[in-house]
Amino acid sequence: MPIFKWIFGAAFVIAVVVSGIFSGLGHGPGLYFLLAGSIAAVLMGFSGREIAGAFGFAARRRGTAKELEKAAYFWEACARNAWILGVLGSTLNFTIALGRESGGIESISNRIVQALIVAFYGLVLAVLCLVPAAKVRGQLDLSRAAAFPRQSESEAMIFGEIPVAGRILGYVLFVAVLATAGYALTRGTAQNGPLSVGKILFHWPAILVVVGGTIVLAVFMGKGMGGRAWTLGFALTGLVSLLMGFIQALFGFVHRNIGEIASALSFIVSACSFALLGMLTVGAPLEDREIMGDRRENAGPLSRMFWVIFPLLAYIFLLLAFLMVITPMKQPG
Amino acid sequence: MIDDLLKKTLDDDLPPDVAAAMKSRFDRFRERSRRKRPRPAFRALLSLKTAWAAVSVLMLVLGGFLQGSGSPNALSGRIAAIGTAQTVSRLLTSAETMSCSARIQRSDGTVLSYEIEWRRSSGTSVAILRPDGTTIGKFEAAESGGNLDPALQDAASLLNPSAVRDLLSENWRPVRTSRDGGGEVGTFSALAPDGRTVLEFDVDVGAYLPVRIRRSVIALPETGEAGNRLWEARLAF
Repeated sequence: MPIFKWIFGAAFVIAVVVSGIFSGLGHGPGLYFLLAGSIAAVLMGFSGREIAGAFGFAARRRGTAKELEKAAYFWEACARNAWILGVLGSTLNFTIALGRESGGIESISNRIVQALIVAFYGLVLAVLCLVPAAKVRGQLDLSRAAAFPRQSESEAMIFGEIPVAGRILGYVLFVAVLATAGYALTRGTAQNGPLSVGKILFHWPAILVVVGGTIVLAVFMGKGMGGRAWTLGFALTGLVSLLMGFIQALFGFVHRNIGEIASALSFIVSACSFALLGMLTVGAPLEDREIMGDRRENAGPLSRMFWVIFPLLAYIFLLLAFLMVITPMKQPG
Repeated sequence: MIDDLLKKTLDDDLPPDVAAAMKSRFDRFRERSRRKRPRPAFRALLSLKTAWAAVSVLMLVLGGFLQGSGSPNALSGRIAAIGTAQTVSRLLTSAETMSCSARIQRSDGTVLSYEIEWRRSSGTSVAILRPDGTTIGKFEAAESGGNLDPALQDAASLLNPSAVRDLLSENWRPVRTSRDGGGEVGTFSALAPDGRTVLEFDVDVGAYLPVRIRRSVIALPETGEAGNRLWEARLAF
């Protein structure tokens, strides 16, 4: 009875959400950013027909090995998007929490900790997306073992090129989600002062390093690398920026200079945000299209590794940044 | 004789069909070499790629330079204010003494001087003095400032370092840090929830010790409300 499975699944998700709210892990704008952002991210890389097909295969519709392979990839991409979006939500929220002009130290610390919850939501959603991915992969293994079923539908009918309008819709939706989530977080705070969201989020040194470094890498990797070049470019420059900022922060501690530490931390947080944003909106959709359009067999192993590891590292550095912000300088001697 | 032999051997009067075949081979060779030369579109693409590479390297270097030179930006300024507030708040508790004074005009028109002295060992005492320096009275103030003269209510936040620390922790927001002229003393400000009352700390840059605190009210030109600076406290560690 598949309907009961869906009901139990929905009940499980509702239970997780409700228990999260009652245990102090509720964060409305973060949850909205994650769910609506996931829909937008999926639209950037997949057509409506591919999405519908993937849902169908998750509900045990039969298909060819290739169709099942691509449906499994779709669900893995959803899990990847949820994980990256979760950490991206945390970094953006972290920045806004730091920049909001209200409350004392306790209130600021509380807001920063709340910002970290969004990554937790992302992880839960990623796990939920991996369930249908595993299910479709299981079906695929069975179909390979039993050499069934017959072609249910032409592959070209489900998987193929995505219309440009679909991609544009995904990007427009993503920008709208970013804007509305930002508005929800900053409601009631004047946006014309020196700490407006725009001024806080656009930390130009980090943007220049991440974007410049990514383009350099993508240009030198060459056209043959396709979307992988962008994923690797954003991940590697993000990683370099994290380390650069971290070392600068350590120097700040050695020199007992809070200004130097602050500059390094703002670089780390902004570099995390823009590298994750690039991976999500440029690298990942390009790779998705290459795979769904049969230009590649599968995602590159390095891309897969960075999709998991870079957000994790970004989150760890975010925690370190939080600790550095709230750690007072010790009195010498 | 040798000359004749050479002439015969290297005779360039080829039969017409051989000459035509050779010419056609030469033409094909020339065509191939012409094709191998980069086409304008490819050259444009190559130059575009080079331009992208140059621009992106420039961006990378500029970003690194801006970060390394510590150019000011809103986010790092804000983090510096929060970090300084946290450090100052912690170091306040290691103060040994805190003395605070102000001249206040009472409701009956008399001007009196108030001197608040906090010592770690003995608590807070308040002395009230006439303008000529003679003491009117002296009393011990509770830590909470509950028994204070109404004229001293503004100074409740400066009764002892813990009171200042509580303000920073609870709802006075850190707003600004500055280090004028790279000197030994920087300043750090915290703004009250009313948006007008400011605590300005002079901070020893090397040790981040708050050596002086000024409590003032910002003027509001649009409503005509004047600003003032009432209280100044000095701390010793």
